[in-house]
Amino acid sequence: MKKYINYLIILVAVSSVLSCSKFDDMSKNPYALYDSPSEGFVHPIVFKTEYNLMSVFRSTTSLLMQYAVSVNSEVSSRVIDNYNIPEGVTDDIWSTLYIQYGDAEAMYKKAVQENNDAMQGVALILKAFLISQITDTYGEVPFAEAGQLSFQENVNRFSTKYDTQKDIYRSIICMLEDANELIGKAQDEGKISFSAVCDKTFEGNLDLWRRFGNSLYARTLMRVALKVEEEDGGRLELDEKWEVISVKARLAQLYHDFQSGGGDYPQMRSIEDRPMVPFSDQFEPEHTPFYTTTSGNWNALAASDVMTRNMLDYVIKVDSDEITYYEYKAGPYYFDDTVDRSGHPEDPRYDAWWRKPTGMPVQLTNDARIRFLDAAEHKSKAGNSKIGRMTCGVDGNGNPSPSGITQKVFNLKNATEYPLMQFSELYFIYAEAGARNWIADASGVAAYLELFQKGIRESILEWRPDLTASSAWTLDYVNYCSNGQVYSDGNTFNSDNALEAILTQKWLSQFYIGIESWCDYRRTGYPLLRTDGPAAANNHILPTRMRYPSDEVYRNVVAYPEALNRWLGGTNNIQTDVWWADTRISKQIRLLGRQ
Amino acid sequence: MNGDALPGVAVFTNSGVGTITDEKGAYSVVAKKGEEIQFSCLGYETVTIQAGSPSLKRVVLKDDAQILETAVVTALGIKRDEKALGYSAQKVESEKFANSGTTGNWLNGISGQVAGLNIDRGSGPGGSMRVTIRGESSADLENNTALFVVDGVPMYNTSTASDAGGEGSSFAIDYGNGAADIDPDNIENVTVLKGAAATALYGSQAANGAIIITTKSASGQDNKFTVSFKTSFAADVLLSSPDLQYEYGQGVAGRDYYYYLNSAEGEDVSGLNPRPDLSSTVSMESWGPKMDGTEYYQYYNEAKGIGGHVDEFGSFVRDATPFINRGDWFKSYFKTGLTFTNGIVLSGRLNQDNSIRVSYTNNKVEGIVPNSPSMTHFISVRSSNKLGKWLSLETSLNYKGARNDNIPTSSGYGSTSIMYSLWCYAPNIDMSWAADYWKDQATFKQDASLTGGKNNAYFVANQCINNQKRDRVYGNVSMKADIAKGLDLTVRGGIDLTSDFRTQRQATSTQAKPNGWYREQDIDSKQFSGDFLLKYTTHFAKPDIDLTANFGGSIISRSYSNHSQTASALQIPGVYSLINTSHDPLTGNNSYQRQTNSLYGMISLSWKNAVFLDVTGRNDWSSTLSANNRSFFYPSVSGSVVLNDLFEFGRANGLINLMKIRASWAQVGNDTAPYRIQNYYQGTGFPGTVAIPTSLSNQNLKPEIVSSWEVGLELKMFRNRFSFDFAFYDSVTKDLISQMPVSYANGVNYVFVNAGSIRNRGIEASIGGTIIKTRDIQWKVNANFTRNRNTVVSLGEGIDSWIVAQYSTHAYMTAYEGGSLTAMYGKGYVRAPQGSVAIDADGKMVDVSGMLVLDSENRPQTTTDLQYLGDCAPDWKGGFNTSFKWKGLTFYIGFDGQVGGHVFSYTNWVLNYRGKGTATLAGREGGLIPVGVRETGDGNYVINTQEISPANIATYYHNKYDQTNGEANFVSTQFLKLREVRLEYAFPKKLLAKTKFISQASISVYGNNLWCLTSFPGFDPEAVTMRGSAVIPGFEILQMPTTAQFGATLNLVF
Repeated sequence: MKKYINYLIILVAVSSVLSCSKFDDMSKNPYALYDSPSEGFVHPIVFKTEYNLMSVFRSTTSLLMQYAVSVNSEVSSRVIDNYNIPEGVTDDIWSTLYIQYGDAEAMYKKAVQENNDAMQGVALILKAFLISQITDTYGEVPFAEAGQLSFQENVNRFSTKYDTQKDIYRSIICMLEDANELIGKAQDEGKISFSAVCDKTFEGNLDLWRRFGNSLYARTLMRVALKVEEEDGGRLELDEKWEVISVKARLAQLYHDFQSGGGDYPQMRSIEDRPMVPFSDQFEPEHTPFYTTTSGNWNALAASDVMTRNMLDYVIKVDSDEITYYEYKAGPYYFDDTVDRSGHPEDPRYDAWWRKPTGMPVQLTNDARIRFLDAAEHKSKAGNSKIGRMTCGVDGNGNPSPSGITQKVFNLKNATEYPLMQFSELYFIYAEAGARNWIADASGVAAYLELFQKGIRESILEWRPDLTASSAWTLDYVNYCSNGQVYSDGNTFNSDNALEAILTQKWLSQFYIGIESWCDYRRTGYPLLRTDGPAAANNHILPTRMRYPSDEVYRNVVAYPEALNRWLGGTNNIQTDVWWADTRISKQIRLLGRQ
Repeated sequence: MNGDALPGVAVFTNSGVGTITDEKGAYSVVAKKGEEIQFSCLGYETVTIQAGSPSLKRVVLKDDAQILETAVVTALGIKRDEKALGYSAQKVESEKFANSGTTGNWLNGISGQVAGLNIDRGSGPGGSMRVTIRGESSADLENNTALFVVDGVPMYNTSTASDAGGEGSSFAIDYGNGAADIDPDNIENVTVLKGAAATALYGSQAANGAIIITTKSASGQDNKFTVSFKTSFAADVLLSSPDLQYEYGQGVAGRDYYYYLNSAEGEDVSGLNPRPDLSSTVSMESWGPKMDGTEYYQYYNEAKGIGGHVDEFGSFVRDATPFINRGDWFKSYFKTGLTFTNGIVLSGRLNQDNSIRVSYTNNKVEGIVPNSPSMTHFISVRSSNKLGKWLSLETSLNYKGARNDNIPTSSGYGSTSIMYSLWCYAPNIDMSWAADYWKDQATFKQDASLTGGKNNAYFVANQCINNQKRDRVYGNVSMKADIAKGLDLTVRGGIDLTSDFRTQRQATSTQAKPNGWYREQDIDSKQFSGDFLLKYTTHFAKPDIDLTANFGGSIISRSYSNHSQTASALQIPGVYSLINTSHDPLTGNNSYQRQTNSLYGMISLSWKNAVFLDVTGRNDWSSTLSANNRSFFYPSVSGSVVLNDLFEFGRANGLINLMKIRASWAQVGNDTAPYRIQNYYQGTGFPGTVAIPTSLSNQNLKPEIVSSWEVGLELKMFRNRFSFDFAFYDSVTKDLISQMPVSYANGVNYVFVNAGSIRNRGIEASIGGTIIKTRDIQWKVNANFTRNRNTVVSLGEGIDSWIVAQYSTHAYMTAYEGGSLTAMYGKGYVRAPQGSVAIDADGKMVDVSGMLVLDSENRPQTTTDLQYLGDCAPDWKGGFNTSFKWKGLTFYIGFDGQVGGHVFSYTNWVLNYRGKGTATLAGREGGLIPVGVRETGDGNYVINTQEISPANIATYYHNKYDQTNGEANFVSTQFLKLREVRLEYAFPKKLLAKTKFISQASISVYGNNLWCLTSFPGFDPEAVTMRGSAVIPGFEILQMPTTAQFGATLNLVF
């Protein structure tokens, strides 16, 4: 009997040893991918980033920057346009873009491992773009330690240090310089593209990636220029490799290359070079963030009167509730060739964005807002509201389309592509640099007026593909902005009001581009926005940053309170300026909104 | 007892002639031949003997203590004497499951019966249940549930939920839990093994306790063949409803008119509008005008002639109709749920050595949500055969086939859920208007206008169908060989196979999937297990020691595969086929395999059958851990002393029948889920591309170890009329495997780590008594009490807190060192700091610390900082039940409840934020002055005297019950429930004997869940919400109503 028991024990022991060696195989997921080329990361990062930025524009930037006013009475406890912004409402950029940053970091490490210059360059552009969006939104954020855990398997660090925004911007500039160099080197070695399957935006075209990276570089230099000027006389120390740059000189160099279309820093040359990210309503991974938005929710945003005032010809009226508002003067309001528009042409972009010509005054109290919506003055004879809503009508076939100009223009809710960055932005950047006398070539009024006009023209074409540069409407409107429109000093475009004119047009051109116009406002104070309406909170300061996410306190126990105490005075407030916005000139102009 | 003569025994014959035994135990009674004579005495089993039988000369009555010394099935199917156990094991008999109207909720049968056991329910009938024993032992809430074991083989219960139409993990379609795959009519009894010592031999899967189910077999029955038949019927009706208001209708905040404009008409439609100056005020909120009969233009439907008339030109003209309360919009959506159960059992003990039992049950259910029928079939075969002198064979095979025609996405906050839609309606709506859910059937457009654009609740139930075909086969074959005297070997093989085919539909024109959506999922799971157990028993006469040694080993191999294909837009609306997709279907593959090999042994010693000692050891090898950490060993020691067998405690007088003290110490190792030790790329939906995982793997994961000790006392007194059981336990889980949240800045959200330790410490007590016991009447009372304290002992190096679970950013379950794992955090109201003062109306200085600080429009505000809200675990739980038996009639009533406990409630939010509840009536007319203070700007406060006008009342409530304000929506779940009432009548055997073919018959009527006393504002304080693939405690996200169930059962045995 003992013999049998011994056999049995041996049998069990042998079988468990055998299966243990099988365990090594079993511990690996047979259906998973344990390795991938670096280019496999590109499209998901770009797509999710653009998805997030579109959605942030609609939920937050559109309200902060007074493109729109929220008229959704069902969420009256949280009104972003009145600066009642609790934590949690603006976590999206943090929680989405940092995850993408982790992927970009993993992609970069993989590209280094592959010794692939081109993909290192693309990864650096993505990293620079992502971290700039994050730091521009929240201020000081983790950077040096950010993304470092991705794909590690031996983790014993649970706190992630925050860096100053100045240090982050130093690195952004180095990353963009490196990217330009690396992709240039790859191109010199004959590599012109990577897999189009992995990159639905540029289809793997390295030249377009390099142009996009350098266009971001122009944006980045502009972002820090005023601050570096005030703080360090225009010189910014970088790293050991890139040493020190003069922001103005580098901007001038970029301008030169922009004009030539090539050079050391090739940038976007036309609308066609823009990064357009594809979307689709037929395939779940490509849905827009607005795919499930009902028409009721879509209509919860009304045009603000700041928008209609800047885009349409208006008369000032006071309604029965003694609220001042701006009424569209000419009619019929839809584009109609038979109407004489020579005096004050409407902005062609208005029809691509808004239906109905009346804007809502900003920062009304809740009951004033309801009374305004209900007032007889703001209804047509048929009882329909005259207040502008984002175009999302339905055409004869039941497909979404803006009403009146069916399918001719960009469809805000269900477009098939959205831009990560607009081409027109470059014109406005260089026009501003010209108006500030930073670039000798662009410093005369004539020079920056031309840049300003080109910017407006390109922006119209970006939104109205049915028009051309030589369409009468385009020409009329560009002409009106330079010679007809009166700015806050009571004059038409001149050297004194050029910055206001340029940045107001830039604000319009940044419709649906993430947080860019909010960054411009904080940096320059333009466009002039009212921040002391009857319902405005936050000490009548347009939020200078977004609150760190509420769960960061649990997720980043040591570093988070340190950061809070270092630059925010211990509270996660929305009144402290981020580093590049903290300039005398910006604060002065922003104060104009508080009378 | 002990062969002594027993005085005072009642002796009766059938004809009613009776006597009582004298002091020597002698008696005499006159009986006819063949008549039955019954001997009964308090504390002893009643014996019936036929007149003329030789055994009448010496009738032996067994005392209850002997009867109660029954065997319990412990780990690995080892049967033990209850008194030999050094740990707590509680047995629940089959009658407790007899009331299960639906198979899914047989677990109700142990709810409130077993101290230390906690059940979290997914909301809705047939919803999943999460069973935990003695608290949350691990930071991974999905990992804390008890193991289910059927006839010695662990069940393989894979995650069962599916996300609802791609709306993420905030809520899910609840496909029920695997424990529902057991036919409650087949359960002989259930033993709950609570502590680590009890489950040490089951290893890692049972680290959180085990529920051991023994199914019925024929081997114990008389030597004959029986057929039994059961039929039952149950009806489910809504148990309770929140306090809904019926005074104000749907409408937008601040407007004093109501106007219905069909949303798809758009705002540009002119000329049709009878009140041209007004646009639609239809809203999902109920801040509309008073339903006082004022005439407004309301819902209209030309085809049905609702809301208008046909004029002389034959065209439809809308009419203003009185705005009135049209009844119970909420309840009228739900139907009475119906459950029909029929079962037949053929059971035969063919001869001394062979028996077989075959049963078939079917279960037909109509749920309370419209269009939610299901059908379930159970077949079980259990046989036992003696193959030879030394070899016997036991087999058990079970099949369950479920056909669910529609499992609605019942709860959760998202447009695909029924409750999300339902909470948009209001009492001014006649629900029959909504029940006709088509706007244009030809183009597949739903009429969603009454819900302010959200899905029509009837459309969801009838067109967004989720169905399931689930087949499960499980069973085992076990062979026992008596090798030599005292030595036997049991070898067992088990299978557990599940095949689950699910389809999910989102109809065209739904909010989430306007172009339609369809998914097919094939889910298969397989478990093969094999084990052996060698047992040696011997007796040493000299010191009177019994020794039993067990040595065994097992291999459990599991594989799971979930393949899905999704059409993300449909070419032709209403056609649900993967071919009808307008793009390549998306594919998903979530599969794994894992294996655990184990060797274990146990030595049991007993001295004088009164002192018992068990020592066990087990080593596991798990495929889920890396080679260095794969093998882990853990021991246990337990012992008990039966004092009354060692010392004289008056057993002869029936004073103390059992006095046992027990103690145990044990460790159990717990491995992790597969594939957490090496990172791999995630798919992204875009072909050819990858992303890094958001949860980081960790090569160094080692098993977490639960160490616990327990002491207990068991007492039976007064001839077993009184029983008492008490346990104190302390259990610490070390090296917790947790998915630790880290800053998003790392590019990942979570990292798997071993960190920290959690302690659960508690007491359990149960007390029972038979208050009256006579020949015809028996009255029993039982009560139990459980109290568990959870403490986070440490969280590991450099870690200050963990988020255990969260809902959006509204509420968090967060563990801090020294706190509890189930502590809840969230934002609260802005309050005046300590020491704040204000001048009141009389010019007096008053302390206003802690008062609400109102904003410039006099509304409460929400803080930006998180604060402690309370704990979701109760302070204590208890159950009480009593049964009263008179002849064949039994009446049973059971209560249970808890004290303390909270939940973050979205139902509370929706009631108040949307103006649906009575709590929002104040101030609608005439306004109200909010209690609170306002800042004056210089750091001082004034007491608010300003009014919120009726026009602003909605925004006041919006602020007061802000979604992000955890404090505003954190509510108590303290409750007392009437869990069960049951009246059963067993027909007298004499009567049945006359029928010649019916041997037993009983009929019972019962009610489950009949009444609930609670301040919880929603439907059911016990029901929480299914999220991801698990029921997560602490968060109630738009739960379904709970039902009260009324049923009747007829049992016949032939």
